[in-house]
Amino acid sequence: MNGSPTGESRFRRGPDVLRYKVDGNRVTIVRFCWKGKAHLDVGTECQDWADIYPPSLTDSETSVDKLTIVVADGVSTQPLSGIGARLACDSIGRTLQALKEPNKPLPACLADAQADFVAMCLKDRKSGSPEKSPASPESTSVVEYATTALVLHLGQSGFWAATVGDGAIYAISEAGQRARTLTELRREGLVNEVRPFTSPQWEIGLAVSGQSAEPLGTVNGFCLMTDGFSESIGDPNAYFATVWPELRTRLNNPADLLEYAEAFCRYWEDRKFSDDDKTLLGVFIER
Amino acid sequence: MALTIVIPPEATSRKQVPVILLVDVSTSMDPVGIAQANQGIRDYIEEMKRNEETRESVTLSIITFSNVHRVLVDHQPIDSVTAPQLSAEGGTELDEGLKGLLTLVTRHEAKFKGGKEPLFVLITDGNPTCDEQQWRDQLRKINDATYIGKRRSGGWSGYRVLAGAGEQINDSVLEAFRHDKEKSQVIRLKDQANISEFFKHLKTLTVDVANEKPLSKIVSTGTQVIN
Repeated sequence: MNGSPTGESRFRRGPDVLRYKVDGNRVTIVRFCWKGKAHLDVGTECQDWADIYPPSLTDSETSVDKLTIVVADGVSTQPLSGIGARLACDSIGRTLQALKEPNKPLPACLADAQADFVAMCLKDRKSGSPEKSPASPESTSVVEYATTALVLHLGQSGFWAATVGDGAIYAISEAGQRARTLTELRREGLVNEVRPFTSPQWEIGLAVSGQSAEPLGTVNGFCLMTDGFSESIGDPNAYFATVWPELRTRLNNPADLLEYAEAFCRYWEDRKFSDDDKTLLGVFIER
Repeated sequence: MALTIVIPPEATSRKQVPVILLVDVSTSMDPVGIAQANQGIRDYIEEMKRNEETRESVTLSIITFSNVHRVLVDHQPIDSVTAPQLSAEGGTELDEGLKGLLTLVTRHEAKFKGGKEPLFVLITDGNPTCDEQQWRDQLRKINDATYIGKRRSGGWSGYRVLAGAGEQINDSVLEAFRHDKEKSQVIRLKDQANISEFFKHLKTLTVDVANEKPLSKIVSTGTQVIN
């Protein structure tokens, strides 16, 4: 069931279900981060991370006035890149949570989070930590640190999304029958090109859904995915029409959800769509 | 029993793997080299169509060069490609071939974006008959092209496989194309009769590129990877 030759689970995160109430809307989030074959084969950790701010410490519903969901893939060199992703999520999540809407535009707030994170990396580099790890060719110093970062912010004014690099955020409506991407994909070049995390490259790679939050309107869900999934999606409507109901029916059954998430990740890998780590967050909204 | 995931085929897509063959069709390739290339290309296309992964991802371009270059297949999904018939003519004007390559890559630049690394393959049997400076100038332009040369973000884009058939071509010509050690391969074929064997190796290399794996180095009889 767990898919690893050693019998270890390949899930770094989840699959789990978190429940919130945001501005009167019931928000149920299914989350999992799964180690791809590329990292399984070389014995390294899954580099993806996904977090929700504020965190929920209960199985029951947590009431909040705003919610920030952040996903990042590896930042820094192996074997620390998974930690880097976690720190990147934390920088972004905490900064957006501290935002006093509508005093500061959301993109500016995200830029603050990025600046804080880069400053932290630079400080860390001076202390030498990342350089103790074996440098991989694509990221030998902080100026070359790269990541995919996905941000979804839900608040009283509606939702706002931002992405850097690969990965995608979809808004889902009509119970999964309609899906639209919230940010454009800003590729620099070929599929495996590095998208550095430092300021100038961030500006090039950053895509946002707008300068401010958009009302939920007919949207009844969101899906955030790292490129291990998103790069192989052809027709999003056909994809979500199948996947969305399958996830929804398992929200109250952890064993079924685990089985589905494992089989779903495996399907992607067995068909050789991607050997990369795979993260998916499905956000179901009920008014 | 494991859960079966069913996702409609139209819901998924694969990233493109552009493969560009630049084939010398100078008269010195006639008749054995041309016949071998025709056979090899036919088999290669059929094999790429048989494999689900390559059938859904490979886009093929075939450019021939002699005194002129001709684009016989222009960035077509492999599933829709019919093998062209190559015929021999003229000299080995490598600069012409490289001009054709550069034009094709520039024309399809938008389609390359977001795809996997392209695979560029040169097959020739002799030293260029054009002035050395001419083909080196073209090579320099190729090395400056984003999707097949130096990346803006550093490093090199794409894989290069350089195949020389017989004794009439200097290694230095093939070596001039090498960029990244891990992503380029220079192959000596004993003679033109080994060209179709080379195409068998090319099938393996294409799958390697589609899987973003290092290039395999096991080649059949009469062929030798020299780096």
